[in-house]
Amino acid sequence: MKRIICCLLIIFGLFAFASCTDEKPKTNEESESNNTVETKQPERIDVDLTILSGTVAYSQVYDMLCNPSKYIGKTVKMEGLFSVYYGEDTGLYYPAVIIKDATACCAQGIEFVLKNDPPYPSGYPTEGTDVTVKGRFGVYYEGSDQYCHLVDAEIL
Amino acid sequence: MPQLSCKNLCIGYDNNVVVRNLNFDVYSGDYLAIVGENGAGKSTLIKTLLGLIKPISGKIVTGEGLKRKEIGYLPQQTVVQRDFPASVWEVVLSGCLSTMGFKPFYGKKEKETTKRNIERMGLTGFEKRSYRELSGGQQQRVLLARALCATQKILLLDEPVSGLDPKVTAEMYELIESLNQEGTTIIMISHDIRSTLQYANKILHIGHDIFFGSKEEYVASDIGKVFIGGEENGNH
Amino acid sequence: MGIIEKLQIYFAFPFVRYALIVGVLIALCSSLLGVTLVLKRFSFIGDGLSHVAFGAMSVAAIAGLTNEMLIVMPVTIVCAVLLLKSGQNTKIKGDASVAMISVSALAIGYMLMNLFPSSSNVSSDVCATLFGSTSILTLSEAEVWLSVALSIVVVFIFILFYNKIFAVTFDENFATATGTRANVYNLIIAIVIAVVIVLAMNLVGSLLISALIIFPALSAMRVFKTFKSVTVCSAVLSVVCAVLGMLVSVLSGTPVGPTIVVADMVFFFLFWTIGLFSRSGRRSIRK
Repeated sequence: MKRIICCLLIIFGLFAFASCTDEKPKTNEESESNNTVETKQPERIDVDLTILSGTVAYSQVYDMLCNPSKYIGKTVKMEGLFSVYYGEDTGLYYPAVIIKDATACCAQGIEFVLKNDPPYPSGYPTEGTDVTVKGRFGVYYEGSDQYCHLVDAEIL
Repeated sequence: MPQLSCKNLCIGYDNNVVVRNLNFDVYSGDYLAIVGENGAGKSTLIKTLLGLIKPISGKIVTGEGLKRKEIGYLPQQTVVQRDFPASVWEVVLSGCLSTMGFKPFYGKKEKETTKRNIERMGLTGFEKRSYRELSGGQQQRVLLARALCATQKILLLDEPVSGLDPKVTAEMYELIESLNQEGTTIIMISHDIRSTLQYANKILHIGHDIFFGSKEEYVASDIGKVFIGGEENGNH
Repeated sequence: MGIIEKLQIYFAFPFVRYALIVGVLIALCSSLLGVTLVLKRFSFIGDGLSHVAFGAMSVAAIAGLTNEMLIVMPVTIVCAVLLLKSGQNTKIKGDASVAMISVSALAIGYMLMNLFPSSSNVSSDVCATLFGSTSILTLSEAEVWLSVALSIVVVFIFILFYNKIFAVTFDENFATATGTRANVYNLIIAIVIAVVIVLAMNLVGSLLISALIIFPALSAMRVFKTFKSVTVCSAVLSVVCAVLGMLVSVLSGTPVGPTIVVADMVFFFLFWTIGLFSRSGRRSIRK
């Protein structure tokens, strides 16, 4: 039994060391070929959430919101529910794509701003409908708070 | 010099005294039977002797170089154990734990002790068998082997034959007797008064009255006569 | 897209790799302890302590602590020691005291989170803590290293004290009577269980921790008959179910915790069936 447990520990140790390198998510090769077939976009999509299962997509959004510096400037494609938040104190609308987790009790969202920034609601879909959005990930500040959003976004 | 002696011992639970002023000595090689009515405090006494319960007052003194942890113990079986997944080897080997101190793994010495005691109990060939698949008598022998791994000097047995059929009971008594012949002191609680009188050389009677003395004295005493007569007639 | 290609994509994400590593280690630790707990008839302790941890987490959230472990770990350890110590001879019997503490902690925790909400979406935080739908996939690197370190310590302690744990589980009275300090080992077991449960909450959530602890042990006991084989089988089975559960949930979008528990259940029925056949086989041989 000692030997078996030692072997198991060695295997897990290898696992643990494998995670030492902090790799950026490499979804490029496989997703790129698929996407050029699907959408015929000449742009490369760095982070494609539409090919991921709900569980991983949710976690990826969480990672993006918690560690935004890793994703700034990357092209993101995601699908989810379209939702709009109206900020009483700023008087602005914040359109966003919402992804729910597997039990549908938690939800994450990323705001997006359409290309050329048309005023809401022109160009934006109806609230509560499914929407696929592609845009460039960035951060902005309101006062001292940092927020994430997709800029130069298009609705696909 | 007695191997074990109790002086003015008061025992019980949570300050409820069950037995008062117990005085007795056990010498090396003795075969002491503890008898008495149900609920009189026999198991309490054994647990106090083993250090599982603190005595309310009085002293327990060990002599002849006997350390407290050198007292072997054959407890009554618990429900948990009957269904426990363990091989005979694992159970008997666990008796050696007290001799290990801080060492984490059993060495050759412990394994040889285990092998020897398994042979003594007539369980050779049973090492890999699962404990829970054995008969009642076999399980008791496994536990006895385990107790022997903990010590050779003195054994405390708590109703070792309860629940066993007559033939197995007789074998068990023979086994215990042979251990006594080899020099192990035996202290045994038993309800089986006839067998007790056959094998023991000293009797400790706990109950409304306390008696301690040799077997012959017990048989002749009033307490003894009442108890033996009552037991034989099926009165408890 | 084939399954292999999908998996390759997923494994490119660091948080998926972290989840697998931590999940495997947690599954390993809980299954090892599960054998002892089930045999000592303390199967419910997983549930009880996880609810206590949930209550402690609520208090930590209200207090605004960034590192909740500072409150959760000590509180859970203290409760574990109290509950396991009360096993044998107490005025309130073991299972009643666990039930009382467990339910009270859950109620107080949820109340506090509603009275003093520290985030905008209280019910989702509660839900995530209770069911662990994606918490294992949203671990920070610090949490991963902490979990790895604690898991290695737990496994090491288990191996070091294996023989003493066996003796204390099989017959505590005998162990104490022959001079083994059973109380000390019970204390060690209690502390280790508390640590494992707090870690395991990230994997399967509070409500399902008991499954992670008891299912592998029970499955192993259907088929295997020696303590060593039960322990090894339990560990291997738990790891297999955790990996399987996580892969299935990642591929098909189901919540992680319940998927792992379903995998455990499936294997339990499998082992139970095998156990039935091998037992009836043996009976016919004896005849």
